[in-house]
Amino acid sequence: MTEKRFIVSLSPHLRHGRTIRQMILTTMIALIPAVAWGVYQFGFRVLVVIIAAALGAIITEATVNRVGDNPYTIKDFHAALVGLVLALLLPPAVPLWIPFLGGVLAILVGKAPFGPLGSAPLAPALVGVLILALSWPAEIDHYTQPRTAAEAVKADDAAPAEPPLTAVYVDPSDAADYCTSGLFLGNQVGAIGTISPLLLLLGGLLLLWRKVIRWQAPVGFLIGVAVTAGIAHGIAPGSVAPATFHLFTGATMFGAFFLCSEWTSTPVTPWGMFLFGLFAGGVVILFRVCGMPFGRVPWAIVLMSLATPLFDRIASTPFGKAASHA
Amino acid sequence: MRRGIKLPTRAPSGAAEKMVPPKQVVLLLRQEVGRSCKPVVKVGDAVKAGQQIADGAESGAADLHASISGEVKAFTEVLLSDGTEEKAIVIEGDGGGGVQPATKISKPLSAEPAELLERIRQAGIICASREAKSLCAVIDEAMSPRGYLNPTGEAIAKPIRHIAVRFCDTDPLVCSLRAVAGQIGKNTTALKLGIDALLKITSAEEVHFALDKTQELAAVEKLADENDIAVHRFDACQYPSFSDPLIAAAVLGKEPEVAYKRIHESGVLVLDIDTVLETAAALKSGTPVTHKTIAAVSSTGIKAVTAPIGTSLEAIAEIAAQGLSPDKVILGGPMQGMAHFTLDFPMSKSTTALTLLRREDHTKAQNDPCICCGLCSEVCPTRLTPGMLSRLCEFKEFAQAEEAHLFSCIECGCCAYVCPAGRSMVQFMVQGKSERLAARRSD
Repeated sequence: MTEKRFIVSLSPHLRHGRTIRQMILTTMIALIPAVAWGVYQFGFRVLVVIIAAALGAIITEATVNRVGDNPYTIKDFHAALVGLVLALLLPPAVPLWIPFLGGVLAILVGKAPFGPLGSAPLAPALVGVLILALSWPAEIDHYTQPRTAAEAVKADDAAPAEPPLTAVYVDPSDAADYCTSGLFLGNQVGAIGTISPLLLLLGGLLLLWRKVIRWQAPVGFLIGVAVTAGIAHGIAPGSVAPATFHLFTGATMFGAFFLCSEWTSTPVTPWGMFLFGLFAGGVVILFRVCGMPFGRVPWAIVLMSLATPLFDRIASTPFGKAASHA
Repeated sequence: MRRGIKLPTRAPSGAAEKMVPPKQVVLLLRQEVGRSCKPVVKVGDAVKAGQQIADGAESGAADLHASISGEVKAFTEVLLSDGTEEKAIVIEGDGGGGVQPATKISKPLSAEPAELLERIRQAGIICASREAKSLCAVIDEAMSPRGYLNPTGEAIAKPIRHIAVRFCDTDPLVCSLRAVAGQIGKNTTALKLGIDALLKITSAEEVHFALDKTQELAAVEKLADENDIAVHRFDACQYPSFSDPLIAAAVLGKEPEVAYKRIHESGVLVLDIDTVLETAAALKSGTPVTHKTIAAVSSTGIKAVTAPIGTSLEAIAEIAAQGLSPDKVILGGPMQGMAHFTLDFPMSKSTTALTLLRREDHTKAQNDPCICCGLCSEVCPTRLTPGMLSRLCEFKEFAQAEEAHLFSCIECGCCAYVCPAGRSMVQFMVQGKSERLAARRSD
């Protein structure tokens, strides 16, 4: 008689059912408003930029899988997400080979050497962006005026499009010319996906609600940016823009919700995540004030990612341990 | 910060269904961890329900009693889930209701604590939720002197100061304790007797009740009110709020040490309501444990069933899931139960539930690499970093895992529940712990 044998495994026997793939797709969905705003402001060419970056990343990952004789991992959409995030950090008018090459480099240098998803010490998309920024600074610097430029202050068709941060870096007193609500709503020159703090905030809230990311790192990052900028502005109002300006320009919002909370490259302990964000935010202001033409938020976060293992040591006291020392 | 996980459903607290006595029961001689009984009957003997059939006096095990009346058919061996074989007594029922007459004990509490404890042992009471140890063993363990408690090495004992009675199952999908608590009704004399006896045995000072926030037990609350018993309310859906460490923390007002099972030394003895009622029955009339109320959990519903010990799981499965063909059979609840390979297995005194899952009800572990998303650290009730611990154990860095407080893990499974990479976190933790303990033993 053959009796039925059942599956055995250790508890728990129920799982939530959330998968990595779902979490990556949720992140992409959370980015849709920002992408749509980029398309509205800069035209359909930005979609081509995004697709070029995603293709670069996906093709590279598939090739790496093939060469390494590993199972194909592009099905989890991580490579596509890397390409998307990378493209959103680039100016709208970059030559198309830049995003493609960025996607290739992000995977080839930032992810593949370390192993499967979960092993890379730095966020692959940031690695791609920073290699591009270091290697082809002139090719990267292709900003265009947004469609709503007429409403934005300082709209001057003759002048080349210049992101607020660059303008302020050249002349800090320019910060007063920007209207905060205009910046918050996304009327500014900047990278494809980073110009609308409002829509990025909404996307971030979606991620928080779906538990794709934890709140500590984004909140810490925003506090870090605001407090550092506030203190610096208070000390030297002539050379540092106010905190609101720094919160709503550049990639601050994008960094808070989509870079600071990138899983693998950031800490997992509650205080570790918060301090990671806080320090990264502070470093962003340092870079913005003391000079760096492009990629200040990516640089700050990559720098902090190098210290992730240290931040992870800031763990909570386990249950009952405090009592035993008392 | 509230930790743990919110489980979607809560078991109903309906009354337990009484099971029709089965034709045959198989009683394992080892009902508790580490100790087994010696049979005192022979093949062919006629036994009544409640009659002693195996004696544990020698090893200190709780005695074993026939759960139905009938004839001792055979001695057999049953393959346990850990791969060892265990002797068992098969009793074929005669369908009659022959019950061993109860011996009325007039003043049950007049006896000495040691005698009370012996009577509890003779009644065969097992604490199902405490790793299937007998009540005697649990009390013994908590009260026995130990050398490492004292810097001089002289063995001292830590007194049991609080007794906490759990009225709701740790696993929110299991309803056995809820059903037992619901059956108390208006008459709380048995509960009172059980508590008084345990207070006398352990010389504890305080009693606490742990109830679910939705449980309405007016009589029990009245008893608590009259006897100065603190009632703590927890949310069973916020798993694992009914686990021993969290109840002990609420009782003490501070977190007890949980590493290396030292929770036994916290001075809190957490007991299930059924154990307390069984104690009362044993002391009042010498009634041994013959039946057990367990939960039958499946996707078609959750029911409480009172069945004789030794009933085949198949019979209970029929009640749990009519026509449903399960893929996984779990002794216990879905969060902490033990999967078993066959339904051809007798229910024992330590069975709290039988959970049947179909393929679509459970997700298989994937064991993809950890992506450090931080979900597990967010839910861990003991504030560990389970992702890191699981990787340390996966890559056999057991010593480092121990330094990272591996032994503070209470194996609740919250981390594995939320893990998007489908890692079998608990398995890594358990493996790590056993490797460390084995390494220490060989030192």
